[in-house]
Amino acid sequence: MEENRKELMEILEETRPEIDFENETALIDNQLLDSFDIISIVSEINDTFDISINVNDLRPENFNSVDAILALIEKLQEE
Amino acid sequence: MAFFSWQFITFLTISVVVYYLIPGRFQWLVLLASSAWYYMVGGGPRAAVFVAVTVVTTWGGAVLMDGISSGEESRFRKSQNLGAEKLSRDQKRILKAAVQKKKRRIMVLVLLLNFGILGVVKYGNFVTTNINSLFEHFHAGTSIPVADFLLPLGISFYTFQSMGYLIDVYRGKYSAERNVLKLALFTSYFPSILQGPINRHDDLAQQLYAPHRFSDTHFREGILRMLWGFFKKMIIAERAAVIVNEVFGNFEQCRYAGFTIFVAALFYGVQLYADFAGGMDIVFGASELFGIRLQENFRQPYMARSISEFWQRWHMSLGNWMRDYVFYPIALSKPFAKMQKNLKKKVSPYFGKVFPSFLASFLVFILVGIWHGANWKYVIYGIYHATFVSTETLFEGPYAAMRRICRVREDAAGWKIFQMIRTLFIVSIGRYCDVAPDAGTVFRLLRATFSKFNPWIFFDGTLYSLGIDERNFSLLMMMVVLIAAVDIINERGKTVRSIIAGQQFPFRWAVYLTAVAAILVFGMYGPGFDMASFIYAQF
Repeated sequence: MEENRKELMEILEETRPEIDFENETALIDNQLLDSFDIISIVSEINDTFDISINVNDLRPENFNSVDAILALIEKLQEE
Repeated sequence: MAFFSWQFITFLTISVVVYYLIPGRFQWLVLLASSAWYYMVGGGPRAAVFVAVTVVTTWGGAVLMDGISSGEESRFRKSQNLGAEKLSRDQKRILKAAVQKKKRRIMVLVLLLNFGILGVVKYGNFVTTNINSLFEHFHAGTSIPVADFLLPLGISFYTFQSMGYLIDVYRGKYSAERNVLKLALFTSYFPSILQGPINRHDDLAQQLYAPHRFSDTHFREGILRMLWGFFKKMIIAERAAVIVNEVFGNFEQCRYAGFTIFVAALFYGVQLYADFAGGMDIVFGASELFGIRLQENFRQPYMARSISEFWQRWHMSLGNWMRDYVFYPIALSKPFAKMQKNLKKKVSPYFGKVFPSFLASFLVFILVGIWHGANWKYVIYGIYHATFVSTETLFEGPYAAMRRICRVREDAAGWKIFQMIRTLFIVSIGRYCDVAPDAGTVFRLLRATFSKFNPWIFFDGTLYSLGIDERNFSLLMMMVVLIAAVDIINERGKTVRSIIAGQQFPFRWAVYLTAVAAILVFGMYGPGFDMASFIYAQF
C-alpha cells in the first residue's frame, strides 16, 4: 500500500513537478492535468504496476487525487 | 427559423408559457413537442427522418448493450454448470470479456451506421469529386456520379452527441435510457440542436426530464444572456463580416496585401467569436428559460496563452468529445502501447512517453479540421494546429531554457500579454484556411500578407474603405472593447449578467431596454430582415 503510493508519487512528480499532488483533490476538474499528462501517467502506471488502465477507467473521479488514482490501481490489481 | 425572428420569439414564448402551466411530470413532453416542431419547421420532414434514424438506432443499441450483461451471466453459469455461487476472479474476467465483446459488436454496428450516414451526406461530394479528378489525372475516361446531398440541420452536432451517449453506455458509465421518447428529447433538444453544444447525457438528460418550477433568477439571467447573444451577433458579428467578406472575397482583384489582410483576419476572429459564442449565449439563455443549464462551450478563448490552452477554451464541447472518444481510445490502444514500449527501449524513455500522444493529437486535429468541412484546406488547418499543440510539450525543456537565458519572469503581466498576443497571431493565421475557398488560396493569402509592409493603413483611412464607414468602424471597435471588458471580468471569476440580474428593478430594466434598443438601432440584418444565419449552423 505505502509502496504503491511512493511509486505513484514518483510517476506524478516526474510528469508535473510543479503540482502539489499530496494536497490537490481536483487534478482533472481544475484542469491541472491535461490529456497529454494523463496519457503519459497512465502508460507509466501500467508499466510500473503491471495493470491495464483502459479508456473506460479514464473518468475525472478516478484521477482527481492521488488517493483516487491509488484506489483505481488497487482495484485493477485485485481484478 | 432564425433565432432573431418574430416566429422564433413567439414560438419560444408559447413553449415557455405552456411549460410552466402544465404539471411538472409532463414538462419534458412540452420540450419534446417544441423540439419536434422546431426541427420540422427548420429542417423539414426529410431531415427529421435522419434524426429519427439516429434516435431509434442509438436507443436500440444502448438498450441491447445493457441487456447483455445479465443475459450473458446466466448463459455463462449454465455453460460452466454453476449455480448461484460466487464467481471466481478468473471466471469474472472471462465473463467480462465475453460481455464486452458482444457489446462492442452492437456499438460498432450503430457507430458505423450513424457515422456512415454523416459521412455520406457530408463528405460524399468531396470523396466522389476527388475520385473523379484522380480518374481524370490518369485519363481513365470514366467518372462516377458526384454525390450531392442537402445536409440535415445540425447533423454533426446530434450525431456526435448521440454517439457519445452510446459509447458511454458501452463503457458502463451509466445505463441506457429505456424510454425512446426521452432519448429523442435528449437528441433533439431544440435550443442546442443547430449549433451545439455537444451535450453529455449525464449532464443534460436528468435536467430535461425533471420537473422545473419557474425561477425568477433563471428567467432574468436567461433573458439577459439571450440579449447579450443577439447583441454580439447582430451588432458585432454582422459588422465585422462586412470587412471580412470585402477583403477575403476580393483580395486578388483589389490587390489587398500586408496588414490589410491581417487586420481582416483579426476581424474574422471577432466575427467568428461574436457569431459562435453569441449564438451559444442565445442557446444557453433560451435553455435557461426552461430552468435547464447547458455546459459552457467557451471560456474567454482570446485570453489563452498557448494554442493548447486556446483549444481548452474554444468550442469546448467538441474538444472534450474528441478527447474522450477519439484521443484517449487511440492513445491507449494496444498498437500505441506497443509503439510506446518500443520507442522507450530503442529511442529514449522521454520520446517513448510523449510520441504516441503526439501522433494521436495529429489524428484528432485532422479530424477536427475535417469536421469543419470536406476540403483539403481543413486538413492543413488540422496539421497546423496539431503542430503547435504537440511541439509545446515536445520542446518544453528547450523553451524553458530559452526563457531562463532571456531572463523572462513567467508571472510578469507583460509576458502573459505577449503570450496572449502570440496565440492570437497563430490562431488568426490559421484561420486563413477557413476564409480561403481552397488550399491554393491559403498560400496565396499568406504570400500576400507577408510580401508587403504597409503599417500606414492604420492612419490613412484605408480601414474605413473596407465596406463600412468611419462611424460604423468606430462603433465596431467600441463593441470589441466591450466584449473584451466583459471577458476580462468573467476571467476574474465574476459573471457580469449575475451582477446585472441582481440589481434593483429600474437598473435591470434600463439594461434590458438599452440592449433591445441597441440591437434594433445598430443591429445589421441579413436578407429578408432576418439576421444572416449562424456560421456554425452549417456544420
